[in-house]
Amino acid sequence: MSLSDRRFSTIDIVGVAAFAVMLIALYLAIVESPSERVQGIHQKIFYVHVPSALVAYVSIGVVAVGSGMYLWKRTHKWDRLAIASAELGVILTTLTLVTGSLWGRPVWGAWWNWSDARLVTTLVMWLVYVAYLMLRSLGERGPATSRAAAVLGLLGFVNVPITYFSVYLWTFLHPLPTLQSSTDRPESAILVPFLVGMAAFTLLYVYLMAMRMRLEESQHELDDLRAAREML
Amino acid sequence: MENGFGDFDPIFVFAAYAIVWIAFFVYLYYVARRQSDIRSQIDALKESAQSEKDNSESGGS
Amino acid sequence: MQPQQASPPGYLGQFRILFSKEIAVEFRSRETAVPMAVFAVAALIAFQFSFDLRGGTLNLVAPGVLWVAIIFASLLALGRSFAREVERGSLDGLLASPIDPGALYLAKVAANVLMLLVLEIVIVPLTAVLFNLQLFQPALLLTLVMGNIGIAAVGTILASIAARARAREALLPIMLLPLLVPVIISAVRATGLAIDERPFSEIQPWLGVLGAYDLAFVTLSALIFYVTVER
Repeated sequence: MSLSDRRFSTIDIVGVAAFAVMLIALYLAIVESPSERVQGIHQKIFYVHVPSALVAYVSIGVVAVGSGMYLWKRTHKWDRLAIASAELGVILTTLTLVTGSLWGRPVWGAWWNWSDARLVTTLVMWLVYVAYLMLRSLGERGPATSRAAAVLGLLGFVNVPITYFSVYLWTFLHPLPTLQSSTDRPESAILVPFLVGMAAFTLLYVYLMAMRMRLEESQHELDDLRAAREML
Repeated sequence: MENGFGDFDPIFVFAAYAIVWIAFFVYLYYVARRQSDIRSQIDALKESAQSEKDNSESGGS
Repeated sequence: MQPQQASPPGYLGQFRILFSKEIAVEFRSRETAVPMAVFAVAALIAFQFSFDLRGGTLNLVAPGVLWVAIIFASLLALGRSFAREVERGSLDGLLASPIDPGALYLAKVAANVLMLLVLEIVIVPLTAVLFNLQLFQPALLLTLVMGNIGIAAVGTILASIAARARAREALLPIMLLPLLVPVIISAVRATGLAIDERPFSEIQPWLGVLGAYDLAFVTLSALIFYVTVER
């Protein structure tokens, strides 16, 4: 018990830190950062949009690592890593798509743009990992479902660059109807809130990963206890 | 897009930040609740297993 | 003692045996190819009335119509590709024999590619006739074959996952369609360019994407397929 108690408090410290940095990031993004010339106030959406996108991509990579390591080592902890990261990946991808739309509507004049390879790839990625979660929830908890999910986790990861390239090629051969975001030089006034936002999302990812993996561990323990009772 | 605020309509920015914060808190709440749910189930199972063991021991002696 | 009896067939030999078994079973039962073709024809007719495939927009819409019909029909073949084994429990017996799961996977993929080709032999000429399109281009044949390999490569391994899950009929398309996005994009583009009789150099990049997709997924799936059929 003392071991899990100690880890509980470590998670708590990460959690408190995550929300503190989230608050600082919020303050910096809303109050301190300047309004951009072309996009106006809407540029402030980027301080949540870009970190959530980047951490979403990282979490998809973590799913692939967990999947591959699970198939190799067959230890439950890698499976836990994959399932937790897939769930967070779906949430972060959803946030990326939603905040991107909320930026696109006022700046591009459209919620969605099919000719942006990043948008379309992110949507496809989202669908793949929603399917991953469905496979998890429809299968019985056990090694067969874990192996199946690991296969899908690897296939989905390999699919991301190919999808990006094919959508890129597709738009490349089409006129770009959109105003591309004018990337101003990254002044420190923009860079600092962005980096703090990155730190906030990374900490939050680590915190929620730890929470979700601990939940999976408890679920596993409960399954084992139930199985032991059935045996009696 | 002209609606009084012009280029400075804050509703989109507000919505983006609100959705991010709400999503994280809802997820955290969901995970924490299931965690305590499972914990209590585990404790109940362990307790009943323990009391069964005690009963059989006291009955046997 | 004859050496033939002592040593089991190698990877290629196993592939050949399993592939001819797949074809023989399908040839006897015809429970996949025929329903697939009928479904695809019905889908084409439904598309005709959904999009009004006449006149100026025809060349733009027809490649998409053709590929959506192929991919939806492929779900029927892919859904069947492990159903028989799961129903009869014969997969465990097959895997108890010294068969390489990779060879089994490749045999199933090859059978599905062939099934899709049979389907296309029916619906491509039909599309050409019904919509008055110039579909008989060598580049289109190449696109069809490469597209089939992509669909079958990903579809077969996902079918073996879905075969054991609940709601397998829903799960297979949910997993498959997003993974097939690169195939859909490049096959539709290549088909469109072929219909417009554009030079081969314009079609080439799309065939390159299809080739990379096929290579990546056939290799990866053949390597990890064994985990999906483990006990």
